[in-house]
Amino acid sequence: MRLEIGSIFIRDVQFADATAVKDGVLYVDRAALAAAAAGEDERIKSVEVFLARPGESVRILPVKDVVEPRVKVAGPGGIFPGFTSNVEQVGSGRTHVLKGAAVVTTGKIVGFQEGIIDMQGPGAEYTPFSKTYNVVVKVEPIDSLKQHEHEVVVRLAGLRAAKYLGEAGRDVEPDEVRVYETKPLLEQVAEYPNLPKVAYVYMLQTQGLLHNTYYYGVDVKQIVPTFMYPTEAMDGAIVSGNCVSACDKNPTYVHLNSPVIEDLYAQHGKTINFIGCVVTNENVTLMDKERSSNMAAKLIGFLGADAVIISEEGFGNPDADLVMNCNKIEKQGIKTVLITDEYAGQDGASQSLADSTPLGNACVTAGNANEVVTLPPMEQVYGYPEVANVIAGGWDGSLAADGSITAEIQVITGATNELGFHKLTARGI
Amino acid sequence: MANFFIVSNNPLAAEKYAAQTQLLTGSPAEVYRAARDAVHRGSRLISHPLAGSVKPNETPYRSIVLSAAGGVLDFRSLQLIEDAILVLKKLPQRHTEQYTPAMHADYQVIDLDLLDSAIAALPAEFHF
Repeated sequence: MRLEIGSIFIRDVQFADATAVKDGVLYVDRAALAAAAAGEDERIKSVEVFLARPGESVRILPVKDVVEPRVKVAGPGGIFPGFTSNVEQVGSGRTHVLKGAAVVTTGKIVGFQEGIIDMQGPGAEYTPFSKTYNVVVKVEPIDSLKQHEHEVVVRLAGLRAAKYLGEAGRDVEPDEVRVYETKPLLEQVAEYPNLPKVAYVYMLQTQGLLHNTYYYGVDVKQIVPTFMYPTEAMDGAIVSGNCVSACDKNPTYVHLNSPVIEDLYAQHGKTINFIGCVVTNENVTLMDKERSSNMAAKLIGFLGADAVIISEEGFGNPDADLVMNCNKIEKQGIKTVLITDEYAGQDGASQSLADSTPLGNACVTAGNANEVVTLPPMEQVYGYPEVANVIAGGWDGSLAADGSITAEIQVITGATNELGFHKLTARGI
Repeated sequence: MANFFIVSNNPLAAEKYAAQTQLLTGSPAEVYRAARDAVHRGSRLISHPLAGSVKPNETPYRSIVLSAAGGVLDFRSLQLIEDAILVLKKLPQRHTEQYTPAMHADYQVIDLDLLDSAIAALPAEFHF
């Protein structure tokens, strides 16, 4: 599959009478966007739209998802197949991206909450979404909507909003066009016969309410691992319904912009031959974990990979899936590199993961989610500020009278993202 | 008669799976202890004790599915439950008793949903 990604660099966002992109500015028709986000969904009482720019004294919480506006301009299918488009295979043709813009959804789905984005101050350093021009979509459901439906309503509203804004980039000439291509396996292997064949095991959180992820609209806990061309992810084949563990969940935006896929493509044809992805799940029962890791390892062996990157999503039990995937792939003589984050306690002295293996001898950490940070008050809060006291990683008294929050960095959206989508990092030079 | 059982402190679990649930009144730590004791008596874990990304010090409710059949000690199950207890110990204590009734209800729903995921994927050897 060959996909052209045309990036239209967004350098500001403003409300206007009509939605359009002009000279790097995203103009948003506030009412039209609210209507597009609401769609025909009678479970939505109201949608409010706010703008949050980098450097502003703005806090957004609780963040449910972050979605990048994209539009398919050539090739089969549409953005977010299974949700806002039909289920045609995506990942080929051409897609335009409003690079630098993001839809941020906020909603009070349950009484305990997740996800802070600060647009300035120390908190901004921990979230990549302090650097994006954010269109905040606050979704209020009708009264007495149950938690399951409430999650669906907010998720779909975010996808519709991103699709609506993405359309504004359809006829805009991109500032940059990048081409990504992975060919059918035998052709791909033949193209770079002397380079090591590298595959990617893409683990997705799939446990239940607020913990689900979707592939072409199907709940991933219900699939056995399957092959995915890496470019499919760039067209929204993977959608997040995972609202728990803000620091290390993968928002839909990160699935669209996976640094793992991006970096593997950067080396594709140079030092490695990137042959594709295996999408797998992280289910609740131990038998599911055994079955899925067996299937993922079988697929990796079948693909003939020489080495594999494995990324985890979430906390606790996915450590077991990570270890099983690692063990079963390594035992086929295939090298693995694992990406995870850590819960090593506030002093960093505790065991980081809930499971381990001696075969996991190459591991990249995305940081310790238990590190404590104090977030100073912001002039403006979009969302539901009263939930700060009941946010995961906070504790009683986390919210001080002056509006500051002292909590672990796990409260911050994307702080320890396990695909490595960060602002704080160390890089080899 | 079912050949699995649930240790739980979640009233919703006891309501939905009345015949299979051993309802405890204590904290998740007590659910873990009960599960560990059951493992020592020969039960195997069917669901992972750290199911979900809601942290075990954050949720007041926890449900774990185990096999009823008392067999030989399953070391994998023992390792998983002991590791889960260690995870709970390292996380700072939260005063979950101060949560509002609405929050308690939400945590119960989340825990029940994780339990439902496990029951829906129950291995074929287990039955109600």
